[in-house]
Amino acid sequence: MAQTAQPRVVKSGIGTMAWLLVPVAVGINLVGNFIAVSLKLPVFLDSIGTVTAATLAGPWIGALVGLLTNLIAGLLITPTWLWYAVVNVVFGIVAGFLARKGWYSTIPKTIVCGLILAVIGMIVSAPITAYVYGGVTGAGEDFIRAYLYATGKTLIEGAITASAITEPIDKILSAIIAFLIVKGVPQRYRSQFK
Amino acid sequence: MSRVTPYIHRDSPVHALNPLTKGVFFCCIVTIAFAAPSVGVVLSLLGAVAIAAVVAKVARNLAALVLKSAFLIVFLIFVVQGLFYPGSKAALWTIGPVTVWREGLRFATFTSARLITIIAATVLFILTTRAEDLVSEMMAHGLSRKLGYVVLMTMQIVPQMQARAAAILDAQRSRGLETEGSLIKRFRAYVPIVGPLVVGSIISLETRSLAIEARGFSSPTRRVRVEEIRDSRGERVSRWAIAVLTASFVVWRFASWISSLIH
Repeated sequence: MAQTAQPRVVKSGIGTMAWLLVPVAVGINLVGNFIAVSLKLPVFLDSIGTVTAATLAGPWIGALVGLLTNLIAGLLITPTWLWYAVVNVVFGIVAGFLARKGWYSTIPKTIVCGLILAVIGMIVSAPITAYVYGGVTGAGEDFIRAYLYATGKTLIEGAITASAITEPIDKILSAIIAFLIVKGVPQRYRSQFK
Repeated sequence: MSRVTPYIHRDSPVHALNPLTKGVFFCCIVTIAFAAPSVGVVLSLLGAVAIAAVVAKVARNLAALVLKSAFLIVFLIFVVQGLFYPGSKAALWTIGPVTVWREGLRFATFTSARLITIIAATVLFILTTRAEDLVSEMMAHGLSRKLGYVVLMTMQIVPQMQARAAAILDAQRSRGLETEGSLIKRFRAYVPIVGPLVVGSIISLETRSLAIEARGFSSPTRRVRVEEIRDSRGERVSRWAIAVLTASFVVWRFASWISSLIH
């Protein structure tokens, strides 16, 4: 049973474990959000699973997790989630590529990733909020937005500035929690996802 | 198995339609609603959805769900846009320091009508379509088998995880975890609740993976469905027809928007 020097893992396509990560990551997203709402926290925390999946299994699995999360939450909770699916998908892709470049190796780097995600999140979601709702989402940021309109900003500017306060906190926390989760996964499991 | 979607079973022609047909109609209604030039178009769409809901015998459920989802948002839209719509000139009433603008109200009406229509169409689709059927049909029409299976699995796992989360919440509370009070306390409570859930779920991944592999997840063999879902020529034609109509509508709207920019 002679083996050559370096055993190669030959795999084509996406492994079963990676596929299976999707339902669990969607669950983490939804439960994460559910608990945050139950505890009445001012942040969504609905992307922890997306970032975790993207870190463990790459950008496309992360994107799929994001898409499914919003689709299912749209069915379960309110349809509001549906049109923000794009945002969650983008999070998956960005987080996945950041992870590939090794940006999730230390806490400070993770915080930076959180900030990047927050900025991207604001950019992608602001037009959706402005167009679908005329700028109102029913979350606490609406009051900030109302104030901004009163002082003369346009719809898009209002939408962007309001989420500028809640998004970074949300995404940095999500990134850190995802980082802790990934750290907690034993090495032998981790290699099965790629 | 606890249901994820609010699907309600009724004996109606709408329920009997192929899920793809309903899906295509749903997408088209939403697209038209987004591209609609006036409140009139939007309201006629809403009317069509309402009629379909009555035919499907889910009108009351639909109304309840739409109200639940839309009430607060519509109220806020009217408040925020009615009072603060940028560029308003025609004031309607003034109560003390607060002014209600006509442009704002008009915008709020249009936006709310559009939003309600979209929500109503979504709810109608969800109430009359079984998720498993939809995924099964999509798989039969070419959706990757693994992807479809994963979507179905997600829909099964989510209620399980939510139940477990509620149980963990209670368990930690009974061990003295503070879940009310100051913001810091509540933030601190987050990890002890979500932590065990996440760790447990990820560890169970390997077992699940073995389980579905044993059930032929990666097998390249062609699958045959136990239950065939009805589809008819008429439905296929109608799907294409409405898709083409919607596409033309969007193109027309886009063109008129472009020409309005030029002139």
